[in-house]
Amino acid sequence: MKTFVIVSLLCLGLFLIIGIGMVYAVDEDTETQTSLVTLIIPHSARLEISDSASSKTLVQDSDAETDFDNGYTEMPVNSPILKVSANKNWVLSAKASAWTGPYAKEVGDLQLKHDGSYVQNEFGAFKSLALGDQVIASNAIGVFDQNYNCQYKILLDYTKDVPGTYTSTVTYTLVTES
Amino acid sequence: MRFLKFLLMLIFLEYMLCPINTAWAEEDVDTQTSIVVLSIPPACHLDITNPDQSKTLGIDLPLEASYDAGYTDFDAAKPTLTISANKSWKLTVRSSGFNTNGTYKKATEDLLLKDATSSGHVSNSFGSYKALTEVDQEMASYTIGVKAEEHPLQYRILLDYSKDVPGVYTSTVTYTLTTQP
Repeated sequence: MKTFVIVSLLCLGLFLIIGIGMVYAVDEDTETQTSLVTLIIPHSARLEISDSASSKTLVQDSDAETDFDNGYTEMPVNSPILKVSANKNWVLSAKASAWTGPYAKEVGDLQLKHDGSYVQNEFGAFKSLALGDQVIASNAIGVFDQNYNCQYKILLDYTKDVPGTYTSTVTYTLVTES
Repeated sequence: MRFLKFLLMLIFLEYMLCPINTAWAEEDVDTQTSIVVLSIPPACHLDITNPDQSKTLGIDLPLEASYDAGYTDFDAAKPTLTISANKSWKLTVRSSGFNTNGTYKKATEDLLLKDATSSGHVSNSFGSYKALTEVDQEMASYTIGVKAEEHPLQYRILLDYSKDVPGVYTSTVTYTLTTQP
């Protein structure tokens, strides 16, 4: 009887030891989940303008004569300033409206230059605007907050430009391209 | 002679009856044992709700403002993970990286993740936005088990006008919960 009890206790101990060992020997558990993240980005072009109105009054017996002698007058620098942002290749163009004033002054008498990067069509120096769009800058990839400090120049001619107020509206257009 | 017989009978009865009376006086006890063994292995369970998130700039999210900020945030608590584990555990995350748009492959690290759980079990600075990589990073862990612990997550994608051309950008994020030795 004693022997039976001892053997039983030994078996029970062995069973518990093996059982505990088996629990510790089991691999750690792992679970996995996935999450799909999608962002759809459309074409994006943003054109900002500051100091958009550029105005100058020629003064008699002063810069008026000098400017007429030179054949032109330069408007204030950095007027306007354009700021370009685009998320792919882009084109910045400019066109001028016909002058309003005492007579039909040539559209091309209004010239533009800018100091920005990616200059096109020689607009890094003064160049005449037209009624139709002309590309003044472009780039093959996107840009962020690219500044274009612009300046206007107006050609003057004693024989044509009678006294008066001459106004032209210049339209700048930024387009992303396909 | 009769008396002797009577005496012998008494002795015999005494001998026979007394042990029986003694046996009746003691309670009987019988014992058996039953061993119950339950083996519990390491166990963990990871649930995910709202796993797939899709946004369109200019429709779901502001376009120019997002580019100006340099990022766009997805909805809060989407997805939300629910963690259960019966011992120390670790939650890791990795990204597949973005698909290629034309020749452009957006950087994997442009996808950021934030864990807004109140459990206090966030690790590795994932309590605020942190860039994902293509290898597992630990994002939460704890030294004992937890039951249905919620981890509301939020994605952020970095944006750059000069790089992120129009297109559809997709990345698969894999979350792995593992019990620890």
